[in-house]
Amino acid sequence: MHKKGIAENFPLVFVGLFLFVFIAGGIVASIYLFYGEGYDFREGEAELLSFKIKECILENDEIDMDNFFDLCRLDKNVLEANNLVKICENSGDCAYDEAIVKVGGNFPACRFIAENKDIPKCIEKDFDKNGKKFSVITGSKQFSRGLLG
Amino acid sequence: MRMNKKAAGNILPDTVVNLIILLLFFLPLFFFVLQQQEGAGIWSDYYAKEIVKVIDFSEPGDEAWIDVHKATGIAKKNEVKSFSEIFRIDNAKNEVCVKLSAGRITCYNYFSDVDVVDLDLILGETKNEEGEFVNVLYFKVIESQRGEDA
Repeated sequence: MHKKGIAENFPLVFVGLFLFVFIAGGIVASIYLFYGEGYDFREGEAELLSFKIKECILENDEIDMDNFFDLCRLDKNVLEANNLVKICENSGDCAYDEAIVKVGGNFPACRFIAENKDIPKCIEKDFDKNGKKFSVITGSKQFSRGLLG
Repeated sequence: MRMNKKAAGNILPDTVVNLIILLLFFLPLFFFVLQQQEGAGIWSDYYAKEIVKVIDFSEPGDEAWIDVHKATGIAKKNEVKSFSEIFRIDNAKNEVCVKLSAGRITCYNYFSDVDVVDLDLILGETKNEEGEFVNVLYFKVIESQRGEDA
C-alpha cells in the first residue's frame, strides 16, 4: 500500500515541476522582453579594429605576421579569442586569397547576411598605399560575459 | 495515537522534499531577478562596451573622462557596497568589468595592447553639457607594461 501511495503521487510531482518551470520561464521571459538584450557591439568593434589597422598600415612600411601585433599595438591573445583579421595585398577577393596577416578563419562566413550570434560581424575595406591595393577584413564575435562577483 | 504518529512521520519527509525542490527552483530565480533590478544587466553591458570603445580608440598618453552618473545611481540603488567596486580594469587580461548589482559583473575585452592606469571615480565635481554635476570615470592610457615585465 505504501509503494502504491508513492506511485500515485508521481504524476502530481511532474505537474508540479512543470508549473515551476512554466512560472520561472515566464518571469525570465518577461524580464528579457522588458529590458531587452544588451546592444550588439560586434560591428562597431570590427569597424574600430579596421580603422586602427588601416592607420597602422599607412604609418608603417612593411607589415607581416611577425611584426603586426607590435607595430599596430594589438593584443594577440584577445584578437585570437574574439576577432577575425585578414590583410591582403593586391588581391582579387581577400576572403579567399592568400594573406599577409591572418588571425582567425572562415572569412567567407563574414558575408552571410543573417542575424545569427554564431556568425561574426565583419567589415571589409580597401585602400591604396604607394601603388599597392590593400584589403582589410576585420570581424568580431565577442559578446559580453556575465560573471559572479 | 500510533496512526497519528505514522501519518506525521509520512508528512514531514514529503514536506521537506517539497521545500527543497521549491528552494532549488525559486532561489536562482530570485537571485536572477535581483540582478536585473533597475536594468543593471543591460546598463552594465552598455558601460563595459562604451569604456572598451574609448580604450580601443585611444593612444598611449590619452586621458578619458566618461559620464557614469547613471551607472553609479543604479549601483547605489542595488546596494553595491562601494563605488570602487563598480568599474574594474584588468590590464593582464585586457578586460573591463562593470558591477551594478550585488553578485554579478559584466566583462568585455579590449583589443588594444595598452594599459589603463589611474582609474578613478570622480563624484559630483564635473558638469555635463546641461550644466549638471555628474559622476565621472577617469583613466589614463599608457604603453603596455607587460613586455617589460616578461
